[in-house]
Amino acid sequence: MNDDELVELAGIAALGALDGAERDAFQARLALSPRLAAEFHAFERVAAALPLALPPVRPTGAARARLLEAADPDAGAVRPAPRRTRSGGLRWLAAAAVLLLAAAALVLRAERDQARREARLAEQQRDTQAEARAGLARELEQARLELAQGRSVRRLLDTPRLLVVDLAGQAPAAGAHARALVDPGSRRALLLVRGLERAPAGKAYEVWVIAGPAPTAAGTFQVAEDGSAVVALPVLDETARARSFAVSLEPAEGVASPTGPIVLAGGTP
Amino acid sequence: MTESLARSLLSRLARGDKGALGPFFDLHAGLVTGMALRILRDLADAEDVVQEVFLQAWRQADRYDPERGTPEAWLVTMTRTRALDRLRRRAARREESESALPIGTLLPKDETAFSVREALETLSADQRRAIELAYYGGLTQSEIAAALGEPLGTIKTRMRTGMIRLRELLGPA
Repeated sequence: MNDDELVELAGIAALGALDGAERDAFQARLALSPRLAAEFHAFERVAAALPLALPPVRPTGAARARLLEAADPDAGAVRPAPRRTRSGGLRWLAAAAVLLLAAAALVLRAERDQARREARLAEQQRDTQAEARAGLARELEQARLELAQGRSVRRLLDTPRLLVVDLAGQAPAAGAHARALVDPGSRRALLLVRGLERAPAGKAYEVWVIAGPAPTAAGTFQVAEDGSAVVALPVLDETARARSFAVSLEPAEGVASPTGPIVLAGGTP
Repeated sequence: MTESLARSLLSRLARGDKGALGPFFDLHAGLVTGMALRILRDLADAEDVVQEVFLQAWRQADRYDPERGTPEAWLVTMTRTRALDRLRRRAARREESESALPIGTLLPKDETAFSVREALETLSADQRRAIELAYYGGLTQSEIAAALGEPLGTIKTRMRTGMIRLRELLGPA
């Protein structure tokens, strides 16, 4: 197969769906052709974005604790070997081996210290480069996000049945304001927030969709430094029937029903 | 932004700072669990994968290469590999309907999620099905053709044109 034919397969390869001779030919050529590699990696990024469309699922509370415990460096440490009793003849040999090991350890330690010094220097250089790259990445990410928001907002605004709900700042955040743009047909909604103070550490703002007697949680968010946020609400059945929305201050991981102070609330007449 | 926070947490993990692991988990657990659950259809299995993925992230944070993609993409790749491995080992022991999934409390959705959903909705149902069978089901093009009773060429065209469309919509090539 020539490069043009292989490039045609790059999207399928990024899904991991090639098989047989095509997969072999693709893999053999991938390392040799920068053009093929670039195409493949571009489609790999597309494939990696697919799960972002899935509804996020909160793991059970124990999962986090289990992870932190398993990640404890001490838990993974090599345990000392159990001591064995040795016969008299072997003791001398063991003592000699200990001396040899001690000498070897001294040499190794000197080498290890040198390697560590070099690693630290390399890390400092890498950090500087990484900071420059991260700055650029941040700017790109911001631009991309603004573009995506513009697209989503435009798409919503084109909806003929667009419902606009104003949310007024409540006592703890009297200067805040928000507007919910709701498409009851697709159950999509965006919340545009202005003038909200940043949530304290460990806290987040949580959105509530009110369609029945109990409010439905619709995700948490944080505001930017200027107090603004654009929040795409999850697609919920309640959104189609919702006439009121509210925002409260809650623990950062979110709660199933509101517990904190309401900072924004509003509904259609 | 989430991504720069994720990058800074990852660089702390790479330096062995375990204090960054909890926040890193909090930032991405919803995505990783949702994806593992989509592939495995079993919350207990999905949580085992979540555990494996975050432990791998902790141990291999120094191998993360920012030029290859976002931290999210890195986690997604690890999640897919591990969940599909487990799926193959488990040999599809039961069929569960999508609606039976124990979807927990929804975590925040950001604009990227919104854009991806929008982009997916522009695909035809056939294109979407082929792509999802490959990505979440771990099926190859021939297996998909066989499963759907369609010619291989048709399946390849659907996947290829669907992926090209997504690439156009989802940004920089």
